[in-house]
Amino acid sequence: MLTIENLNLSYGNFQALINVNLTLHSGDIYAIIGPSGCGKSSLLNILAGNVNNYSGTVLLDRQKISYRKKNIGLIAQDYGLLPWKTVHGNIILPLKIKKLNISDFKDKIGYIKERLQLTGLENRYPNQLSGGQKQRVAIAKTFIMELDLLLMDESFSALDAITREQTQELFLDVRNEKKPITLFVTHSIDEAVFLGKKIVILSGVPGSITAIIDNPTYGKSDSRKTTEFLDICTGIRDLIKKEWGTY
Amino acid sequence: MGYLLISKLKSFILGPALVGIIWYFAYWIIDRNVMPNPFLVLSALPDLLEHNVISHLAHSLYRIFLALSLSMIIGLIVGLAAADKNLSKILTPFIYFTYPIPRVALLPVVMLVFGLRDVSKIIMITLIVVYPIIIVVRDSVKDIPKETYSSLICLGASKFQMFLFVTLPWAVSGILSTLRISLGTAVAILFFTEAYGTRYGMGFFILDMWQRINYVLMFAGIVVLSMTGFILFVFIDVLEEVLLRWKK
Repeated sequence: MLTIENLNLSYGNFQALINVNLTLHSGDIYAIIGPSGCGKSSLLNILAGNVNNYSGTVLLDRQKISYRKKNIGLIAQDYGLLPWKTVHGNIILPLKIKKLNISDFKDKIGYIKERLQLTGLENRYPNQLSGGQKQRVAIAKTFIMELDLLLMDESFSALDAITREQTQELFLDVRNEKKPITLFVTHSIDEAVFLGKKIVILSGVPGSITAIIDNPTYGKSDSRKTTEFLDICTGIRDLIKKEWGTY
Repeated sequence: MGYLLISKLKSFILGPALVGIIWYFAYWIIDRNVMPNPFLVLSALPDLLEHNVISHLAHSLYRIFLALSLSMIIGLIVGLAAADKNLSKILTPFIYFTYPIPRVALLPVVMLVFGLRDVSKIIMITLIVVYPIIIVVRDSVKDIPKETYSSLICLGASKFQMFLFVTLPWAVSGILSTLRISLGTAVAILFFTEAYGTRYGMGFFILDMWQRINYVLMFAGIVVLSMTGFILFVFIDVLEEVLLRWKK
């Protein structure tokens, strides 16, 4: 369980987040949506350990997050791959950082490569891959460990519409094998409704949680065309417009 | 790798061939003893063996190799330190103040402090080559996007791991390109420093032949020194092809 209590963040005189309270339960997938500048990425950066000057409490399994002891994955908008490492080198990087024996993960590495259609691309460098392939490497790299928490920052936004939908479905398949607590930030309402079991709406400056919506349509590949899916999208769009003015 | 070697071999032949053509024209126009016929110089190359050229070359290579290695190590350490927000406050003014000093003018001081032998020669070359490396490493490390470290931070990477997996590979790319630019300067300073306190080195050999008014062997010595520099350039190219394959 991930607990966020009374979270506040300021950059000098600018307050980015105010009084954010959120509890993420094991196995759940949360989508955080809101307009640009509402503090979505700031919230994610706090959880990823990149921002430390916040006030409030962030607990993972009732303890302060220890990035060395816990397995926390981050899939960034720019894929977060090291350009000087091959596909294989990027995938095994988390194991090296955690000082785990790579040979113990031989089967898992083979499985994840096959699962994410990366077999045959092992020796390529990121600049020799398409956007979709890079995204699949980023997913493989993240899921090579058994995750306690998965963070995603606009992870699919750089992909074209068709590749995005295919990669989202592939991501869900892999993610649902172990179901780590997942929090992803997006500015796409469709994406939030397709991936998020719960949709957290962040609005205003400073950013605060306006609403948390239960989403029964999440994760179903054929749900995108249903009336229920479209109704939820419209409802979220109206809610954000009401809070923010335009979207 | 095979294609790379063939391509390097082509440039190995083409470069000297172009120099040979220009040289022949210069010889034809000047037509003096001071500019000998390039074919005469080439035919004299085997004679260099009788003048102990292998030993001269080995001494020069030893000095230049040590100086370049030292420059890379110091350049990397100081460049990384200068990229640090706090250390930069001290190091950057120091670098900016000392960089414009004509370091060749420090030769008498270096000679007095480190003597006339190899140490002063290596230090002179290092003093001149190290500055561009420091500045390039500092700037390239400062340019690393913060996001590159993000996924490593949430994995709990130590500072050493972040250095090893991100900072060092990024800095190596800068070092190699600077090294290529610095190599020409290094060979020139090597020649300059081999004018004193030694009886070995290609610089000494060339100056010795000049004083003996043996222009053919003097030019043969220059050819050997140029070819050595050329081989070092090719070596850096190959190193770059291997270490920076990811950029292609």
